[in-house]
Amino acid sequence: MKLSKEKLSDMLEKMLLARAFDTPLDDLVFESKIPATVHQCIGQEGNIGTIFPLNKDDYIFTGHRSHGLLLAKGLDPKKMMAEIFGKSTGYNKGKGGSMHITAPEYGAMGSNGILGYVTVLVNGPSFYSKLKKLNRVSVAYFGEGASNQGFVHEGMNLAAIWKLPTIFVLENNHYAEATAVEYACSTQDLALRGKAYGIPSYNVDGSDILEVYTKMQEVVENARNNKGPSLLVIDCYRYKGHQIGEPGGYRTEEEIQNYRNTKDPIMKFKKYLIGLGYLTEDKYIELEKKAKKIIDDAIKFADESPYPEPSETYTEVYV
Amino acid sequence: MKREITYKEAIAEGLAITMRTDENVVILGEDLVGGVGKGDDSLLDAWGGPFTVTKGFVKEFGLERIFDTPISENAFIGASIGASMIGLRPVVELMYGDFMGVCFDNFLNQAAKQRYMFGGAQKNPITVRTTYGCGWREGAHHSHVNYSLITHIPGWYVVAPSTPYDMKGCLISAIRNDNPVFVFEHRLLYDKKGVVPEGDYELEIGKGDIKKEGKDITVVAIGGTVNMAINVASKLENENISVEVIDPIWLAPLDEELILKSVEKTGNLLVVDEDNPRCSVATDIITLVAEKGLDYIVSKIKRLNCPNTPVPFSPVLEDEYMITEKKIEEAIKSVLK
Ligand SMILES: Cc1ncc(C[n+]2csc(CCOP(=O)(O)OP(=O)(O)O)c2C)c(N)n1
Repeated sequence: MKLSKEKLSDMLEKMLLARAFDTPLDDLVFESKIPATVHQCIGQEGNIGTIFPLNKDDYIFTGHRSHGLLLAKGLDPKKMMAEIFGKSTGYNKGKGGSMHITAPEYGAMGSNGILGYVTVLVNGPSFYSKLKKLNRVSVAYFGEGASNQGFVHEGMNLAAIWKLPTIFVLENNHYAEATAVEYACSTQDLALRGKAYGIPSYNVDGSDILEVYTKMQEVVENARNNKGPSLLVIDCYRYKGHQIGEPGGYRTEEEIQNYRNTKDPIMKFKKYLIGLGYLTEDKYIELEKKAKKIIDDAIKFADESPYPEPSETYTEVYV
Repeated sequence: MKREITYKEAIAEGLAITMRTDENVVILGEDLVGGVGKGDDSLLDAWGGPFTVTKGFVKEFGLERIFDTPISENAFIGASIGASMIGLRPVVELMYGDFMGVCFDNFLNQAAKQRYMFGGAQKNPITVRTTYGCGWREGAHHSHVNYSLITHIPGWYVVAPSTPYDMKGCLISAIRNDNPVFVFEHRLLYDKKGVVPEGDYELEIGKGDIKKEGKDITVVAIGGTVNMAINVASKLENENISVEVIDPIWLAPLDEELILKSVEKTGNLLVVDEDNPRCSVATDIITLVAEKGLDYIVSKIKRLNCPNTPVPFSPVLEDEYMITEKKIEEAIKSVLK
């Protein structure tokens, strides 16, 4: 598949934006600007390759580690940061927080704190889309840890028998909190979990955003052409702790360094673009600065925004 | 000098004592050890539980007695209930009370009903430990107080201790009891210290405690709100208001006698409960007094719950949502005025 220079550039910028967004969060949590711990996706930026084949009105259902995906879907970093700060200018008026960002106008249907649940919710919009012939797809993102929830298996079976335009994206970053995939999952070939339900299922390398993108493009196309659901298993790695402030200790420092040095999705993509002649070191530094500036502005916006009125506590329980 | 330890340490001591005295006690939950499955023993005990309650347990008890589980609450709690039917005494950790939704049939239709439905032929000596309580700024899926849901179901014993001493003794009783018991641990209490004996002791199931004696009003407070009520009671002494603070400790069975006796003495009642108001433990206690103690009431009965909303994330909103000492004080004064 031939991608334009602009498209490739956009991918790099979104990856840099994802990293720029999550990088300052440690300090913001320690300074209590952000009132609670958050989950960063640093190291997993290749996974946002799944967003590019989607249209704005395709649906995504995300989990606790979703900032990068949401930014790639087009959400405004200012309103995301404000939400994480608990400010009234956030996407959910400060009622949701980092784990529950939603922006239906971008098809971002809401991040979920209950692991695995998105895999049943996701079939709703795809069911509706099929019923009304909207030709939209619906995507659920969940970790390998969450893939051990019963929900996931029910959700896949239902999507398969009704041939729904659902795409299951399993982000295997090797650890669920302090528990390794080798321990928690009965097979290390997680694509088997989709195949068991007759769903076309693929393992892709998350350090290569183009491989992720290409496979996603194919399964999105299949979904739009009424060929039913697919499962994409992305092999990836998180550099940071499960959440800010966690004690670590369940993996070696060498393992983390090894991933950083050899499988960093941004570094790999940068090298690829330089090889193509689409990027220079200087241009890369400029793009990095640009991303940082956007996030600095977002932090400033969040910081200066007001908190919601206490009376907001009681509103919106019902429609 | 009397030894003081934290609520969290009291939980760990209770668990360890029951494990030492009964080889059938095993514990299961997510990340209770941490670092398992890598084939590298130096990684073991990385976490010792998400809140480090079971830190060091793997060293003493080995991986045969403490099990890290996949994120499959239905499966590992179901297996524990099954094992309890033939003699094991599993203690399972449900990381947050909010997650009971993903495995609710275990609680609603299984452990709770087997004894009765099988005509006494089965029993389920399982203990479920879970954390609860808002105030952590973690939003709607990690803050909900929902002990009333379990209290509603016949067949469960439910305990929500407020002190390290009560915690340890009740946990030991819970694990040794042949009924399913749900233990609600308030996360804001984890670091709170109190005097706790070193040895093995059990506290009577269903027995509450008078945390502070008084004569003008009975405040029945639950779990995380007990200490607040005690602080308010101390403060109001200066205003010549004498508050009796009752901690039922056990929500099921409920120490009805203790509550009724106190109301008989004071003639006024406030129930403080961090759960949502509808069909709550507070509602239940108010009903108890309305049915059996209405003659004792001289002015008013009142309850103070969190509002009828999910838990909001923003600190401003969560502060508004939460029970505070100020709210308790105002509620007491509104009863007595
Ligand atoms: C039903 C449920 N059980 C447990 C948790 C607590 N929890 C939050 S994240 C997490 C680990 C998730 O691992 P994974 O699904 O692999 O995603 P990752 O964090 O690695 O991105 C756990 C156990 C939860 N939020 N929901």
